[in-house]
Amino acid sequence: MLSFLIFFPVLAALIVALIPTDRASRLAALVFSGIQFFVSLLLLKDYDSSSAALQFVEVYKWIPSFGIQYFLGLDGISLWLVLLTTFLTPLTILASWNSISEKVKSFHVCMLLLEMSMIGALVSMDLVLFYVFWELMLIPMYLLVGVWGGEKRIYAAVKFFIYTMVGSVLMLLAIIGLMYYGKEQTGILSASLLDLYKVNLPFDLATFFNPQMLMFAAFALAFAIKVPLFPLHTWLPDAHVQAPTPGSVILAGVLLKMGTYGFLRFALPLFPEATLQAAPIFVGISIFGIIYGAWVAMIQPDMKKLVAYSSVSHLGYVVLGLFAFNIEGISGGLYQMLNHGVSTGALFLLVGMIYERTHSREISKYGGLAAVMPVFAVFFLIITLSSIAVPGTNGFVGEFLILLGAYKSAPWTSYIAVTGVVWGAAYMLWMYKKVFFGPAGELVPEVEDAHHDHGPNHKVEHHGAHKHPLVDLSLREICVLIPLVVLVFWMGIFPNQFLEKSKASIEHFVKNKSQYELTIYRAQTSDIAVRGDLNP
Amino acid sequence: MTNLAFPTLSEALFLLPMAALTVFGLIPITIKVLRRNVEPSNLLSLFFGLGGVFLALLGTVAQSKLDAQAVFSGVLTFDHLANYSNLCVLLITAMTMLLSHGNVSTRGQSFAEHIFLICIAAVGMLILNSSVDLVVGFVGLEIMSISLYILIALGHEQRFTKEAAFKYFILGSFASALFLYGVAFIFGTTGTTALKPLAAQALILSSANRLFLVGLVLLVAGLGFKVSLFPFHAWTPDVYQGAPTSVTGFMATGVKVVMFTLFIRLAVEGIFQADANLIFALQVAAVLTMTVGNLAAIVQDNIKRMIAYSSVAHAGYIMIGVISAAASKNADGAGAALFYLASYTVMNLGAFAVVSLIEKEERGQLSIADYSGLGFKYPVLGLALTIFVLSLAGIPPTAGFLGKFYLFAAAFKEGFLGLAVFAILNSVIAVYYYLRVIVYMYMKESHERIEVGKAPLTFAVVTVTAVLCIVMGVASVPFYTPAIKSISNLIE
Repeated sequence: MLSFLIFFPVLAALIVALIPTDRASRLAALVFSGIQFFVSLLLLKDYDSSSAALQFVEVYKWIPSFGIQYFLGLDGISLWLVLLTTFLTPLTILASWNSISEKVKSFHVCMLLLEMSMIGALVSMDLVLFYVFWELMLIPMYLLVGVWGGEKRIYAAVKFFIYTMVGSVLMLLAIIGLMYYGKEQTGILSASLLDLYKVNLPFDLATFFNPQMLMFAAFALAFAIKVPLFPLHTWLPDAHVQAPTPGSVILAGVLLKMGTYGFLRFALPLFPEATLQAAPIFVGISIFGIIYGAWVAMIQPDMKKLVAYSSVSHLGYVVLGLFAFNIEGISGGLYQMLNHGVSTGALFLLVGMIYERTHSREISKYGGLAAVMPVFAVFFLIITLSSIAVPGTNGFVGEFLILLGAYKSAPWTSYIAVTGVVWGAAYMLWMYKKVFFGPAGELVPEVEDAHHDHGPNHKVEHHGAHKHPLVDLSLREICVLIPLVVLVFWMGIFPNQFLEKSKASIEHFVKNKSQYELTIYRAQTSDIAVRGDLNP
Repeated sequence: MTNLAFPTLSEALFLLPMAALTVFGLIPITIKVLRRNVEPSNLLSLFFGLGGVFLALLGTVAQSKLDAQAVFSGVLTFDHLANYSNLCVLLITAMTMLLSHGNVSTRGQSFAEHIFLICIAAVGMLILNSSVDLVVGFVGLEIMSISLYILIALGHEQRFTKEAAFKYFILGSFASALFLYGVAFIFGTTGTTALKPLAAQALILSSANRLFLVGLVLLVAGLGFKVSLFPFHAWTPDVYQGAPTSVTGFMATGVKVVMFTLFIRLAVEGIFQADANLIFALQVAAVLTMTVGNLAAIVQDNIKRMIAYSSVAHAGYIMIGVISAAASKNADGAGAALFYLASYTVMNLGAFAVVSLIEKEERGQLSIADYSGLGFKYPVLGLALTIFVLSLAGIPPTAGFLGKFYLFAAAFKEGFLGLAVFAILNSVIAVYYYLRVIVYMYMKESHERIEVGKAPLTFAVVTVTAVLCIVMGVASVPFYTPAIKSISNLIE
């Protein structure tokens, strides 16, 4: 089942590559990714939400001498992220129907391979296999930005690649280290996550340079760059602004989640003591990121850049939730990952739609758009509200849970983080106001009155055409947005339908975590006990 | 030196691969002589060359069942290590011949001599792979090197090739002299040039007679020159650039395989344990080799120079395996180095095959900018070059990634963490210039029409190597296990 989800897009990519015409390849890519989505829905049906164990497990030997396996599995954490991936891919392909007009076939091959590698990374339960998919993700994304991107696309693509590479190569070294420490303790060299969870890595509170802390640092660096956390985020605005709309959607929707997913799946449970010790740093960085992202977003003249910086802010919430280490925080973090995928993905789609029409994303050139494109304005408003977490939308549930979790673990963190909600509302609504209301902007034609339908009107029409024909959303575009809007409300009103699937896994995770706290406590007390033995 | 007894007939059978290569290599030029200097058709020459390689391959496969530890009074061995490297060398030889057939600078003139020289160089390589005696190794080294000097000089293009040939000849002779001088010191202090007895004395001698160490250092310098370790790497870019592309591929892969095989033999026998400083010096050399190679590659515009510098860096990576093997008698490091050599061979030959397809007689077409728009105009070729470049950069799922993984794992296991960290950071630097190729191929528009020459055989090489690159990255076990086995047999 999971193997199907990984290899079907490869097969699809091969077929798409062989199709001669652009139009047919586009259609084929859409159909294949649609099939992929419906197949992935079967996961939802067969998933047993009462169990925290891995499901749909597939294990085959890959490199036996190193204990590396082709080991796939799914739990409540990765389930929703896999579905998000398969859900967003056909939507973005549909959304790029007209905007990608060159090298169409290669574009869809890249999209399908990207989907394959993302799903692979989400379901790999073997660290080396995970690393393979993790690195593999870079190549199609790199090509998407570099080939179909904007003016400074090459710079942005290379920056994206190198940044991510720096983080991940050290992670590879840490993976190797982890495997050998595992061998020391269990006698078997293995890269399986389940085996490595059991390894107790040497840890020393007194110094940073202990094996566990160093390995945690290597993992955390890789994931923090991907998320991206505050000082490491500079590749993100470049990549987002230069990427074509589908690239931005996938980048924001799924790729960034790989970082937070990595924290949740690998960094936290593999290095429990180090995580606990480093938690205050990450909480601090994430809170700073929330505020910083929002403030920087506020001054952006470019819509896409604004949305990109809002991602930095939103993902700060996710990390804050994860490092709260309680059920509320982690559920909220997971929920916010999905929300961000849906609403920021949708925002990028919307910005892409207006960009297709005018070839400009500058906020100051717009104004009064609501009168010209009313349907567009409605969709934009709904997504904006979801992004600023208005109750009834998905964003509210996520942020509420995160703040609750943060409050429970350390109240002061939630006091500061909650201001981010206000800033978020400020920049989103400010943009909405500028673009959709007020006097008609440079790029927006005056609205013609209904009476003017006769002869003398010719001139006005000409004038409008000269500016840019701003037609409202087409049926295709509406079809792209409707599923997203439905999800916004569905996730906002019935969060339990989503959360209960992940509940068992998260509870299991948190329970393990409190056991770790116990072991730390025990380690400290036994330390005293040992000292006591020495001095009778 | 060992007392040589006259070989028995069964021993002589081991020479069949070398004999086949020599005889079949001689046929085309014999025809040329008999026809009074009229070149036989290129395809005929190629046919005989490939025939020789094929017979040699059969012989090697037959030998690999035997695991003959020592023949010819113990100067040659046909153990698993020799067989592994021999298989690599023979595949390289075959591909080089195919590339030469389609390459501009070898097309049409003195192809018969070309085939002959490749065959003879391969014979030298086979001898080197099998030698467990330093003097016999030197003979193999010289057979190989002298053939290569002439092969480079045979290139069609005038200025750069002659310069390259001359430079390689002068510096190479100097390195051979260093090697031989080292052997002389070692013989003087130990009374033997055979590896095993030598290794037995190494630990005692290193403290008793420092001249032994001098010999060892000279030996390493000679080897280092051939595999282009820092600081003996300076010749590499000039020679790689000037040589005909097929010959460059041959040098870059074949010479590295055989010289590292000898390096691995020395390491596994424990000769480098003679002095702790020696291992430390090798570590420093390895780190500097990678760093210098990678940093210099960044600024290159000529693709052959870029690959040349990158191959310097790869020599540094391979040294990690050699050092891990040298520090403790363990199969992991040497096995990883051997696997890396095999994967490096595949990806590098593939890259040179693509270069050979693109290059043109009049204007070279060798700058990276000449690759603009290649990816979309020739999708298969573009994909192949992408695979090679990603593999060279060590990105999964390619041979290069697993090669690095095995090397780093070995380094970690033997406690060379620092070395692994340096190597891994270096591979990030390397990503930058490898990506440049992809940037030009896919993200820049071509200014002029890029044309690919018609060379079906070269296309075949590109396809085979690209497929191998992926296969070795996905299913590495059939390639890695023999590498490990060949070393563990040696250790026991």
